[in-house]
Amino acid sequence: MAKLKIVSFNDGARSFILESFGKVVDKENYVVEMSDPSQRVLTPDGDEIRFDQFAGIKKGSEVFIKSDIVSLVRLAGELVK
Amino acid sequence: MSFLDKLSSIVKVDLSKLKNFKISILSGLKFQVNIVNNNTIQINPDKYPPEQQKKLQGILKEHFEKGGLIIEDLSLSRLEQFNQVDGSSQTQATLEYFKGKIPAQDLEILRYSIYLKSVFESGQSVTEIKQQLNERFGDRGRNICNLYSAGYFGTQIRPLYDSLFNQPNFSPEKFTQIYELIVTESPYAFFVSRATSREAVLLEITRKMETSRKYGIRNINIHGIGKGNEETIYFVLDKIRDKILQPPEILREGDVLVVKITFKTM
Repeated sequence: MAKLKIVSFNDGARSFILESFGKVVDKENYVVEMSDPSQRVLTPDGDEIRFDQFAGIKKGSEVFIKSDIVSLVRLAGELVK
Repeated sequence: MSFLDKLSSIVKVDLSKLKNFKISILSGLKFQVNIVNNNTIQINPDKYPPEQQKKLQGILKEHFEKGGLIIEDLSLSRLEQFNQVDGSSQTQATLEYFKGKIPAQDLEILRYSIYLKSVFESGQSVTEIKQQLNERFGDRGRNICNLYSAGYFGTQIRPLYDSLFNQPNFSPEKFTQIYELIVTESPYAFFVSRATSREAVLLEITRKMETSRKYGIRNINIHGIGKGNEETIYFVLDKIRDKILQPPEILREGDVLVVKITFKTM
């Protein structure tokens, strides 16, 4: 049976991916909830995420991943092996 | 309807022959759908009507709900590069050696330091990664990165542990005490940064020389990369010439300059 491991996306598809999860970007360029734009999305470390820093998402409820190397390794390292 | 059937119905391509595959969502390109090496489906959502885009987004959510990862491609490349370095037998041997000997967070920093050095050696820029590590781990992170990059974990810290371990009255605390000094004060080394003025570098090296003397250390290696830092090093050498044995030992490899100085006894 076919198995899908990873979905990747390019820089231009960031908005498309975020919209899939009900997220948009506010005036200050931070990722927010579409249903409540005053609510900025947070990483597990409690950081807000700028649009250009959004690197991905994984389950656990919704874990948003920033693009710095430590976040990538801590949150997605095992899934890419 | 299976996941693959749903996807096939959206992209209008028979995907039933694929086994392990990846989906790549690529906006802004000319094609609608493209299959690469029979394992990567490249889809450009811009080329689909809104209704199909919604269905595609539903596919992504379904993948996510099954525990799948959705990741930006540059981050994916970086992560794959990291995993390659991190999974090598050499890296694992280094980490295994220091496991339990240094604090857990330092071991994590060491992992990133090994990766950083590998990126540097491959000729890529490390400025952004260094900045990220500084933001995350502060001065301690920067020191460990610098010490590892300059080889001190192999040439100083490991031999130090082995030497202490072979002494009859060895205790891990003895090593920890000296290790702490090394990673907080870096007594063997000074790393010249472009962000620091010549005068500040001179002040810091003079202070480090005084600290090192207290612990019976009589050498410091001054490290610098690039012309600006090299000029700073020669400025400092001129100012401290009466305090050090002449001539200092100068090692150069490409842009990297290391000057080994030995202090005069007071």
